[in-house]
This record gives sequence, structure tokens and C-alpha cells, in this order.
Amino acid sequence: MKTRRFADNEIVDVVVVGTGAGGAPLLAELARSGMKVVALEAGPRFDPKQHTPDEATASEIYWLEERLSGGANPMAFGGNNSGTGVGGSMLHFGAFMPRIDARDMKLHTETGKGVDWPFDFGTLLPYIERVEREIGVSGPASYPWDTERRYAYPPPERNGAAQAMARGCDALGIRNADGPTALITRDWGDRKACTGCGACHQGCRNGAKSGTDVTYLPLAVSAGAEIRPNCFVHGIERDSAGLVTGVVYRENGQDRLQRCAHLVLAAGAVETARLLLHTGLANRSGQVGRNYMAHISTQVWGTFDEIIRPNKGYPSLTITEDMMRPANADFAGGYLIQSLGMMPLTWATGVARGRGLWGDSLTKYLRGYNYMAGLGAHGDCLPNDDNLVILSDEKGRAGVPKPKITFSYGPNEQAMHEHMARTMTAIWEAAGAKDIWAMDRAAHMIGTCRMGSDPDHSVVDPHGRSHDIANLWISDHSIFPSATAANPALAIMALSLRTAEAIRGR
Amino acid sequence: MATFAGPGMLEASSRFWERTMSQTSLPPAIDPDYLALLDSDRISGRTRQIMEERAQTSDADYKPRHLSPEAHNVLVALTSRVLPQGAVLSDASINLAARIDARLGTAGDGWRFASLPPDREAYELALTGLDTQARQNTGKGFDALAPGDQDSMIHTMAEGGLATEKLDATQMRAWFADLRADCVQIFISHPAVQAQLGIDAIFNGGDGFFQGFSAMGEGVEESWEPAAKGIRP
Repeated sequence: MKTRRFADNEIVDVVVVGTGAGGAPLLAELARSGMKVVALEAGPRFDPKQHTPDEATASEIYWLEERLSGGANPMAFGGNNSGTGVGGSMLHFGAFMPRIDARDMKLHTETGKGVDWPFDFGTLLPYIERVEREIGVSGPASYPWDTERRYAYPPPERNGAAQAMARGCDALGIRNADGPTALITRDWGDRKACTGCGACHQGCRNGAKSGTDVTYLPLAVSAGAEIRPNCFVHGIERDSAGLVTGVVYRENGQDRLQRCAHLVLAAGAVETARLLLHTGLANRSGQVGRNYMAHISTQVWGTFDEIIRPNKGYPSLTITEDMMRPANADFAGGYLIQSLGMMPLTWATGVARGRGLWGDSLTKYLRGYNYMAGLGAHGDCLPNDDNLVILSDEKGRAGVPKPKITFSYGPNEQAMHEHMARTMTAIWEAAGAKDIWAMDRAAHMIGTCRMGSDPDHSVVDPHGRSHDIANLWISDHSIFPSATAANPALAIMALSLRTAEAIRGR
Repeated sequence: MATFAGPGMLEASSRFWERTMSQTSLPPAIDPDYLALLDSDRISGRTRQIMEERAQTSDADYKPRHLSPEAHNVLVALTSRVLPQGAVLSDASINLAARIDARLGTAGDGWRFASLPPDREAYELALTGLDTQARQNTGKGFDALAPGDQDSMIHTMAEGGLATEKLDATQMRAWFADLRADCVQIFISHPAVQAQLGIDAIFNGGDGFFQGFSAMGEGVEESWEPAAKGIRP
């Protein structure tokens, strides 16, 4: 991916901050329409062949600048959700690619809780289908919860955890299937079929995983876009009318200014909010940093009699969507369950933090790694006034204050967590697992720059444009009005294509 | 972080094929069958180099670089109770305290509890605070306590009942979660531990041929896969 370099004083049509799920589709789309576009990426460009399954070293693809995590349920960042490098968080994302459930976009109408999206699922669906087609997604021939849906690639092979979950669900009458996964199972151009190496979270070495590094970014570059790595944006310049005229970024210790006609922030729900709070822009509503949400991501683990080797194969293949609106729910919204294999360091960290073992019992439990399999949920989360991103009083990169994220479960999240733990424990008991335990956990970062029609209560309009600054756009999960239960990458990419149309149309 | 594209890396990679880890690693010893896998074509040159450096790290006479000597002494005693290694490694143990101290000089993992000061300071305050508590209660430093008395203090800390001079009981409990995570991460990343546990995560494919894993599922093993050494949960 060799790219040109625009001169700093050249006024490019669009600067995009970030090259992950939010930035890359839009970058490709705008470049293909003939616009001069530059992506500024805070991280380096990695050689995929040099990704390593050694988890300690693979942390090079995580966003390691320190964040302060507070509240009653402080979240882990870094490898849990925040990436760096050309390709963004999709370099380490797990490739699980369910679609949003249409009901989750109208949760307020359904339950009186949370807020509705400003458009319905039908508006998003064509973009979702386009993303799936353009990046390559595998899935079953017939998806039990949407039998019309088709995937271009057959699913990868089931590993031990996937087999055990299917068996446990079958025993309880819970529908299950191979889940949609953003990877290819046949060679496609320069990309090779998934080999089941198990190291999705440590970076895909052969292009099987459909991250932006092997999909939209090469397309963008071939259409004339520039990708400028190692550039950390920390300032936004404006003219007397308040319009953006350029961005200030630090590269090799030097501050530089890239002039532009439009600016798109695609840095993720924490970094996008951090930059806007730091610059004081686009916040007439007072909503920047607010409505921070995460997925309630409870895990249940158990020990099996037969060897599992949880590092082998695609980690999280089996899915059930039967809990999207469970009959006996005492909460709004719903959740997905997936099977979990896991690499050893990530698993051991969960054991140490989440199960609280120490001493001989910790050592003895770690010895059983090869016989472990897990289940993991992702569930919706209601916005809450106390959950937010603010600037701390500690200086971070380029002098920008480190962000402080406060996150606590409310009654809805707590009730959902308990339902998840009960359901997944029952599945594991039915599958024959022993020594079963549940881990309380949240993942993904959502909200902080809410999208909506009312400028008093939202940061961007339904196409991602700032209510306050006409040439400032946001394209990442910070604009999601609600968390939904689906892993966010697919919807972020779909919205990115939709925002590109709006920018191009102007 | 440097990337490794270009002809320089190709030369470096080819050199790794010629060297064997069995000639170079320090205790704890790595089982010969596992060493053969480390020298095989199922692992990339870069990953082999990482494992080699980890196995060669000598920390027998480690002097702390980020913690005070007093805090480091407490950490040595504490880590041996938090993650005793004898049930996995029989001939030698990994110096967890040394590797934690070394890690305190690196970028960290991307977050910290907002309730705690930065990692180095949190470690220093927690460890010296634990020591002071031990002296106040028993007249002896933490490292001089009998193992059972150390465990009793650790238990109280884990339950959120141990306040120290600078960190309250809730902060100490949060810090103890960080300590447990640091211990297991260093431990399970070591090739000698992965060998004893029969973990094959790093043998997921080489540079020349990216094998991945083909035979998988409950009870499925391939003949080349490393067995756990006399361990069954």
C-alpha cells in the first residue's frame, strides 16, 4: 500500500482521522468519487506477516496510551476494544459480525427506555449488505433467525468450544448456528482462506480476516487516497465563520497542519470525544462525552473431560440469537451468546481478575488451560447520566489530557448480567462442563457523540454531520444512539458508507 | 514500534532456522520435545525470537530499577504466595518480581483504575504500605512473616479489608487485581510454562508455510501437539 503524500498547505477535500471501521469505508468511497482524501492514523503501519500469536508482543496493535477507568464497573481498554495502526481496531477485532436486530434500533418505542435511532433498520440494511459483500463475510447456508439472509463464504471449522456450545444448546432446545464471521474461507485475490490459527485478536497474518487493512484501505489507496501513519491529531483550526480549515497533528515530534475542506473524525468513542472536549468544538448540546455505553459481556467458563485446546480455530463460532427478547426477561433489550475459545494470556488474565483466584488454587487452575471452553454474551446497555468520558487532569500524548471513562451498571445492566450468567451456566451444565464460573465484564465503547435530529440533545445529525459545524463529521461508534446487542464493527462500516454519500452529495 | 518489512528481516529470519533454542535457554528448563517444536517450521521467525529472548532473560541477581529495594523485597515475598510455581515448574521458578519491576518502565496495557495512581507509584505505595501494616501488627516485615501469616494478610487484602497508610482498602483490593493479572501474564507467556502445560498457541504457523490448525474439536489432537506434563485438571 504505497501512497502519495499531499502537501500540508494543499487544501484537500477531506481529512479523515482514523483508519478503522469508521474511517476506511468512507475514505475508499470518497477517493473513488475523485475527491482528494487523506487519512491521518495515530499508529504505525504493520506488516501482517509479522503479526505474532505471542500475546504480550501483540499488544503493539492495541491503543496503549493510558486511560483512566472509573465507576462501579471500570472497563479494561487496550486489547479489550481499542486498537492502533493502519487498520485501527479491526487489526485486533474478533471478526464476529452479527447484524443489528431491528428491534434494538427502536428500543424506546418498545420499552420506554433508552432512545430510538433516527432511522430504522431498513435504512441501514442496504449498506450492511454492501459491506458484507465488499469485505467478505462467512456464515451458514440458512441463518435460523433470518432465513432470507445469504453469506458468500461457508463457515470455518468448529473448534471445541463451538461444538460444546452447540451440544449444550441442543440439549436445552435453544436454537444455535455457526455465526456470521468477517473472514474468508476461500482464497480471494491476494487474501488467503482462514487457516484456523486462532490468533484473530493478535492480528491476521494471511489476510483472511476482513479488516479494513485488507479491504477498504487498499481500495482507497488504489483510488488515490493517502494514508499517513504515525500522525496524532490534537488540534482543529477554524476560520472566522467557524468552519474547519485544517487539523494540527504531531508526527515525529513535530506539529504540522493539514488544510482541508471537510474533516471526519473516526477515532472511536473515546478518542473522538477526547479531541472534541480538548478543542471545545461541536458541543453546543453539551452532549459530547455523554451517553457512554458498552456491551454487557458476561462470560461463563467451564472445564471439560476431553481436551479442548481453546487456542485452536476461529475463537467464537457458535451463536444463538434466542436471547434477544427472552420470555422471562426482567430487563429491556436482549443479548447474543457466542462460544469462546481464547489465547492463554487473555484467558489467564480473566481468571486472575475475574475469578479472583490466588495461591495454589490459581496455579492449579491455570494448569487446566487445554481443557477449558467458554461462552460469552454481548448485551444492550442503556444510557445513563453518570456514564461518560471526560478529560482528566493528567497530560497524555502531545499534551492532550488523558481521558477518564466512568462506567457503572444500572439495574437493567445488572439484571441482564444475571440472566446471562444463569443462561450460560445452564448451557454449560447441559454440555457436561464442570467447575463452572461466571465473569462480570463489559466490552466495546459506544456513544459519546450521539446522533439525532434535535441539535439540543445530540451532537451530529442522522448523517453524521455536526449540528454546530457544517464541515465537521463523525463516523464511528460514538454516534450510536443506543448500544444494541451486536458487535459494532458492521454497523460502523455501514454508517461510514452512508456518511460518505452525504459528504459527496454536498 | 518498528515494523519488520524489507530484506533485512528476511535475512534475520533465515538465521533463526539455523539456530536451535536448546543451546541457548536458561532455567527453568524447557522440555526437549517442546524445544524441537520451537525449532520447527510451525512457528514464525519473529515469534521464535520473542520466545528465545524470554527464555534467555537472566534475572537471578536482578536489582530493581523502578521500585525501591524495600518495595521490591515485599514483592518477591508476595509473588511467591500469589502465584506459587512448583505445581508447574519443578527445577526453577520465573522471577516474577523482577519482570514486574521491569514492566513498570514500559507503556503499560492502555488503562488503569482511576482510583489508583500511575502503576509504578501504586506498586510502591501498596507494597510499602503492606510492609508497614505487617510491622505494626507483628513487629516483622511482610517478607519475614510465616507463609500462613502472609496468606492471612493477602486474604484480607483480597476481601477489601486491608487499609494502608496511603491506599485505602478499596484501592488495595483494586491494586491486588492488577498484581494477579501481572503475575499470570508473565508466567503463562514463558515458553517453559507453555511447555509444561502443553500449550500450542505459538505453533499456529510458520513463515514459509502458514499451517494454522486443521484438526480441532472436543477430544481431537494431532500427533505433533505437545502433551501436558503429567497434568490433568
